[in-house]
Amino acid sequence: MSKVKQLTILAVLCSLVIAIVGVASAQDTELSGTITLYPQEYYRPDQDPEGAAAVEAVIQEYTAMNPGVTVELVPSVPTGTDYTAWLTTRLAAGNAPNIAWQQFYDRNRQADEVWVPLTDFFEMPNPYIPEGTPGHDRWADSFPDFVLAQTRAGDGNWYQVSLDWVETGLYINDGVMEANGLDSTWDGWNDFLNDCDTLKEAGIQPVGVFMTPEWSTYQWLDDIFTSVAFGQMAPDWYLPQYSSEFLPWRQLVTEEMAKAVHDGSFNVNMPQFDFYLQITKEFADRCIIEGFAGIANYDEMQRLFIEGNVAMAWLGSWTSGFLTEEIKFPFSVTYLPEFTAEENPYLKYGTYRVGGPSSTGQYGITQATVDAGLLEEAVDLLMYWSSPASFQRVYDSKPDLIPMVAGTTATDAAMGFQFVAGMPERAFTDPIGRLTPEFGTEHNRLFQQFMLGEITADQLKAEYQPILDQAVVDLCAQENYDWCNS
Amino acid sequence: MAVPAQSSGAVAVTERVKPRAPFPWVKLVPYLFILPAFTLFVVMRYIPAIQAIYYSFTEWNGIRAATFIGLENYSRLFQDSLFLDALKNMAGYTVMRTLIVVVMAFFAAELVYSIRSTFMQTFWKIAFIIPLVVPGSVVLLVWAFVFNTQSGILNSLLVAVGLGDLQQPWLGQSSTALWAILLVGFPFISSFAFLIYTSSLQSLPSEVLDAARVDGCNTLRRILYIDLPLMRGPIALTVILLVLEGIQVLTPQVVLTGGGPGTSTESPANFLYRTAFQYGKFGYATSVGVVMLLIGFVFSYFSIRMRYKGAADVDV
Repeated sequence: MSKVKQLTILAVLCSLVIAIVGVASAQDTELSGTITLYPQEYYRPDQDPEGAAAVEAVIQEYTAMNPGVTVELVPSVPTGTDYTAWLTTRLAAGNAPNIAWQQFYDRNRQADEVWVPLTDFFEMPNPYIPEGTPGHDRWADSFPDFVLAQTRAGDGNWYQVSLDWVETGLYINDGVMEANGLDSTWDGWNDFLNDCDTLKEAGIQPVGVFMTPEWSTYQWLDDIFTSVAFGQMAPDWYLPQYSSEFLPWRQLVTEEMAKAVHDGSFNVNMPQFDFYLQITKEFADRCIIEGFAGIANYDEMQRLFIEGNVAMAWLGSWTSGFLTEEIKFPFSVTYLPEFTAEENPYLKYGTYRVGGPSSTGQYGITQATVDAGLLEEAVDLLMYWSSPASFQRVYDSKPDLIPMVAGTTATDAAMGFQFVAGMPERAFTDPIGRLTPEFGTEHNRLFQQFMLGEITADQLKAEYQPILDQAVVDLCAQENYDWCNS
Repeated sequence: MAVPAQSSGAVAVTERVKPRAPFPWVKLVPYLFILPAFTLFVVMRYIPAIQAIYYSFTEWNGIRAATFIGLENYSRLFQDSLFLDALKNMAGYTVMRTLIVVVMAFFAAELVYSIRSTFMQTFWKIAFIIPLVVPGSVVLLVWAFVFNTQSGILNSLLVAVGLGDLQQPWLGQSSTALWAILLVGFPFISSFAFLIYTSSLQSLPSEVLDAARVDGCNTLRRILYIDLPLMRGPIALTVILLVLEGIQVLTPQVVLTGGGPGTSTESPANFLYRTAFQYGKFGYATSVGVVMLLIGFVFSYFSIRMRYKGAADVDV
């Protein structure tokens, strides 16, 4: 064999070897870089060292598996800090965490301007989930359908994983009820209102709900009342791109609500709207505590119940542990009664479950992560973080929440709210997340005045339709839905 | 010790030594010392303010690049009924609060000034100044307890004195909410204003006060014809600071009412904060900030002009 031939064969062999090695290494690229993770309430080293240690252990295991990756944990911002302002300033400065918490409705509003769509990643297998467990072959299967339905953004994408959930319940001061010859079982909505009258006549404040122009527990009341009045119509407003044969009843997403307003299917001149106002005002006049519009926050409302100043209070599952420790009188947890067919001419379901993803385990990846070339690392870490084996250990430190990752087990405290989880989902989300945040604030202001009797139903309707229409104009400008110009 | 030659002569002629001309850069030394503070001041105060003016002419969400839209934000702002309500609330709150605080702080300063015992005078000064160190948000949280409809001190007090009929959800209805926020300053003796007035009273020229005393001037006449005219400067200063504080009022809204019920306690600063950080409309929010800046600037300019017009305490 000539020397030229030998050299040629050698060169070809070398090229082959290099190519094979190259392909192999490309297939198994080692992850590297520094990822910052903001686990929100799960990581509070000062207040909850035990929970923080669980988080650190999970992360240490991950970095041991991926030695090229460093994970920086960002402790939860102190109580009282406006997290939105905290995150916004960091986003503007380009130093926001790679994986960060955010309320789903705020995140979905910011969408791909700030957050990475996870839709395509949801279709990928999650290697950290054991074979045979939902999510192993397709990451999205790790989460229940109703969670996916409720956290989907207006543009059809998912921008977050929702690892846990919250529910709400009506806390009852059994002693006060009993002393007035009442109990917490009702034959219908009117029976409940009659009990409120009895309590008021005895000088007792019936139901603790508070209301501000921003978020408040009134939002839950409004979710139920809108669902009660418009429940029959809601499925007509479903858009095919958000629908699933496995989920015949679900919460409306922003685009569906906006289109209903745009098409005139939801407007203030409908008889259902009058019914919605009527039940709202009746509840305000007969059941809700005095000064409900002057209570600034959830803690103040909760304190009123703990101190025995109200007979009932609508509170969240996330403080159930705290309440159990603090309440010194016999109490129980139930739910608002159902409307009967006689009481509701537009009945779809008797009542609706108010709960949702507004919890601790809501995580998304910031767009700055893509610019930094760390997307693959961030997705991998998020997959690991959301796997049942990892999340169970993190979740165990906050037993009041309800885990939403297939393969995890709820604690006893969370199980106490399982009866609520079995109810039909509310058709409408909180006013602040229903259309735009501006709409939510304006809605709350108008309803505050209406419930206080400072404006009439007609005045409310005259002012409400323009804010609905404006919200749709704003959404169309932002999302450019294909039906906007029709 | 060597004696200078000149000292032995009959007339000692001291040769005037011409001071050595300093190096030209020595004149710059004070400026060099002030430079770090000035740089920080410019970077942290002036540049953001100027940037805010620019952003007020743009549509900007705080993250992506701003788009220039001319006067659109301003035109929208002055048609925004919520902002107009906020301005109205701010005007009422600021005027009432400034008046009450100036009068009460002045009254307290005069009372303390008239105490003869040095010990008691010091005691009352300390008593009135200590609240200065208590954070405003803590004070507001305490007032939230005071106003609570079910278990608040105010309603309990009314019941205790037989005025149970006057019980109100103080923060929970539009007719009383702004008044309740105004009441948060009770007894309205601002430590800062008190401090300024007390020190001003102590620095009044003693010859004028002595002459007045000799002429038989009573306390009321002294206050009206000597103290007040000579304290125009300190009073103008506190009025300007209180008005600027009123224009920027935000904490009571954040801690107590969220601007409600309805729009009854909304303030421009709360409107700005919500527009920027909850709605992500930084361009629109900065236009609110610019309007607030202009109101404060115009008020301060005219207040200072009025303070010097015909003033007895300064030569103009």
